[in-house]
Amino acid sequence: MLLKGMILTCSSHIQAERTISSIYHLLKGRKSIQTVQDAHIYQLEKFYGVYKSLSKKTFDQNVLELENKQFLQKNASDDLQFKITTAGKGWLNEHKDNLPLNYFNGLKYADTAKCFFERLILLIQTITNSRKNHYSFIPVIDKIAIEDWVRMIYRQAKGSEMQLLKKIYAELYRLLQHFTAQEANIFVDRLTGYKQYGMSLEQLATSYKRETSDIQLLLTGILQAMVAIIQKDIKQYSFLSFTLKDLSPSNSITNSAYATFELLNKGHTVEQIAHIRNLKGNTIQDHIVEIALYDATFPIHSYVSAQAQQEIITAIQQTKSYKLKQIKQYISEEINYFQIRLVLAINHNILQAGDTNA
Amino acid sequence: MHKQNILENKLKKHFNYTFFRVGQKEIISDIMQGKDVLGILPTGSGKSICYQLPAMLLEGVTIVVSPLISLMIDQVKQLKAINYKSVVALNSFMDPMERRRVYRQLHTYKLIYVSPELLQHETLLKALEKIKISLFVIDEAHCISQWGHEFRPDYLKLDATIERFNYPTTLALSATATKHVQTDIINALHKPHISKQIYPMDRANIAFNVQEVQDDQEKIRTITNLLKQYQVPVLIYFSSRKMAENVAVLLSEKVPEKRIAFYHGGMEQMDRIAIQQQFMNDQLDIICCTSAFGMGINKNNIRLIIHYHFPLQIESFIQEIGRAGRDGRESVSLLLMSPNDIHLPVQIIKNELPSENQLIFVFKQLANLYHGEVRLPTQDKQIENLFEINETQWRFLHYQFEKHDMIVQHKIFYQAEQWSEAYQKIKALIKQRSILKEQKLTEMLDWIQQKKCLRHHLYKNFQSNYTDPTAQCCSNCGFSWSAWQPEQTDIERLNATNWEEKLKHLLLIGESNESK
Ligand SMILES: Nc1ncnc2c1ncn2[C@@H]1O[C@H](COP(=O)(O)OP(=O)(O)OP(=O)(O)O)[C@@H](O)[C@H]1O
Ligand SMILES: [Mg+2]
Ligand SMILES: [Zn+2]
Repeated sequence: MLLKGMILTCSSHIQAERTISSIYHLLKGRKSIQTVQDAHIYQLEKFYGVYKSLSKKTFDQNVLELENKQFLQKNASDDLQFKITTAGKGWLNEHKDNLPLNYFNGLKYADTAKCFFERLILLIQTITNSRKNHYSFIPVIDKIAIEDWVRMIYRQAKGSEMQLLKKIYAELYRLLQHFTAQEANIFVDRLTGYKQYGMSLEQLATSYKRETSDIQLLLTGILQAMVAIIQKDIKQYSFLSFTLKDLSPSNSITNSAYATFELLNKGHTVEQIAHIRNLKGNTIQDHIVEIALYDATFPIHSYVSAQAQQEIITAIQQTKSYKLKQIKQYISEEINYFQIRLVLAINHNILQAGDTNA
Repeated sequence: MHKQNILENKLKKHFNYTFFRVGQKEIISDIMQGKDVLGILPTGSGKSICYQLPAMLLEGVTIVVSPLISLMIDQVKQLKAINYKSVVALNSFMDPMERRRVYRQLHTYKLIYVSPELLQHETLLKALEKIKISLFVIDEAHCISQWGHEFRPDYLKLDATIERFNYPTTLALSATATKHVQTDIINALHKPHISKQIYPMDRANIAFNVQEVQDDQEKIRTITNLLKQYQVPVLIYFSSRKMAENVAVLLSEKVPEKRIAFYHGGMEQMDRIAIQQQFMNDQLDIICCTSAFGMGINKNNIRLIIHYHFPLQIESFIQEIGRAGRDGRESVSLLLMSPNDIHLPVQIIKNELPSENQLIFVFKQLANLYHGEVRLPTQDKQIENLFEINETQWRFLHYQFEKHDMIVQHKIFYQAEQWSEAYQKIKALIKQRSILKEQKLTEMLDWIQQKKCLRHHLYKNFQSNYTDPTAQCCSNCGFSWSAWQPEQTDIERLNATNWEEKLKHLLLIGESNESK
């Protein structure tokens, strides 16, 4: 249900200007210029990367169900593009209170929230076991970076475990007041302690009679909301804010785009690279656009003249649209889609500021 | 005599066991004298001690090659849990930063687990060459043989590795090696004089049952009845993830008083650990799983192993039932067979080897890469996308390409004649291996349809004899469920209702002597 709510919300923002799979990429947090750019343009930053393990199959199935219920409708001209229907809007409105969509802040917090939770889980497992003088437990989190952090806290807390546990209890108690009882229950059931291992996603789904995808998303949402609450009120959450102090959001371009980048630097042309890597020219262009988004020193002038750039920006401002087709109609014949996308990539910050259809 | 007692004292000191189990002391004594050993001992008999103890006693480092990453990680965790700290598992999933850090400190470990793939990386080999390696262990050594049930091409390169490390004492271990496979191991390692410590691998405390049923519904009915009758830890094996999931849900509805979960390779790492540990901890009674749940699992009181689908080879079956009764108490294996099951394995076998079309395509892509002066991608996912094959298929081909000098360290070397010759050879090999897999399948099916003693026929390719069963033998010799009365495990349930209570309980708030 949560996943459906997200798909509908995304569709209503995008208004069939993009294909439905752009929503899939957004939720999965695909590291491509197109996706990151979509997130900004359509103000869907909060959903970026909130469901990294989403499979195409699950996604397609949900879209199909929404279509069958007539909440989504195929575009007459392009059947890969979907529009939300009035019924769909009605459904969203009706379930507004059960859909905690405002919990999410993916682009900003996806990685931070995940790491925060892993630290918390391993810390609670370690401290409770240590408190019980039980040192032969199998840790549920298996990442050296997390282990190192927990070890550091553990050393400081040794001998006064109970004090730390009380502090964690008090802060989690306060924090969980911001959520519904069921959400708090799901969160607590996921934790692991002394001789008591937390529930898997599937077990939570069975026990709360919800879909696994809902549980996964809900937990993600809860955590991202928690990070926001903690950061707003550091004084009340002195320990929990400490657990996220050194975590910062990060973005990096995809491996494949990077390989293209290296070949570009060696002086190969798009065609040559496509041939060498046995990939389509379009794919290489995608890579270059992605590089343009992430590389501040990207030499846009080697691809688009200053005059053409200006023409494209003016067209965007006039059409108030990011649809490539529409922009294309306003500019000279010889400027191609690739060039439009590059200009969009370079200017995404500026353009977003001027974006009025919120 | 005196020396023997020293070993016992060390066993007590490091692992808190009083006695060696069958074969352990013999193998360990050989190793301590610097002899190479081939050790064949049954599942669950304690093969790990055969190198974990020497690792503590020998100067320098012990290296253990192990085929399954989950198995390595598990062993490392269990060792750390008993305070055996200087141990590490190296595998290709490690974070590169982390790996570099460990590489610099290799000499500080006593025991290093490593995947066979990683052991081919030059950086690691160089780092290992600098330290003193006193023992080189090949766990699950049947992987070295084409005839073994889990052939891993990288295992065939271990002889070169041993040579590079200047011939450290070598120990090869397996629970499922036929005579043929044993010979293969010895030949592949070039160690004709290896000390052979071969013990019977039958499990006297497991009774074997094969039951024919009409269809899936009858399978579910049979299982439901058993679960209602016995309160013991149970594993149910499936050949597909989807079925494991579905049946777990179905059984939870039919036997709501039991705590049932599923486990397979497609789950998130954290969930896998959680389910496995809940089971170890008796928070769960029954696990519906694929073969991904197996080798690493060392819970001593699993009493019943049910095969909802039969495995593709006798050896896999022996591994899987080997999870039962590791404490030596009477346990039961039940294989359910319905007429439709015959069709299942065909597709599975197909997916294990590349087809002819796939082979042609891979050769073409490889040539393209060569002409574009591009190296082979290093990530498995990229490879799978580029060549449109799965991981198992790539592992097989990668080894072949290296063997035919088409690939050296991710670099491609093209030579038209050589490539077309290699193509023919690989094609023939695929054919041969498919036939072999079908033979293995036939063997498994023959066993299932066997009318005489199942125990005798299960082990006949491994040994000529077997110990008398400690209790019942098999369904062909006559098995009665009512005569099997294992000790029932307790169910302890937490009855907290609201999250505040649960959180308090979890964080140990409000317990007595809280004041620490
Ligand atoms: N001498 C001993 N006394 C008591 N328990 C032992 C002894 N040696 C090993 N064990 C225990 O036996 C169990 C099985 O050991 P281990 O995992 O090494 O089996 P294995 O032979 O490697 O089995 P598999 O073939 O399934 O991998 C472990 O719990 C181990 O602690
Ligand atoms: Mg073992
Ligand atoms: Zn018998």
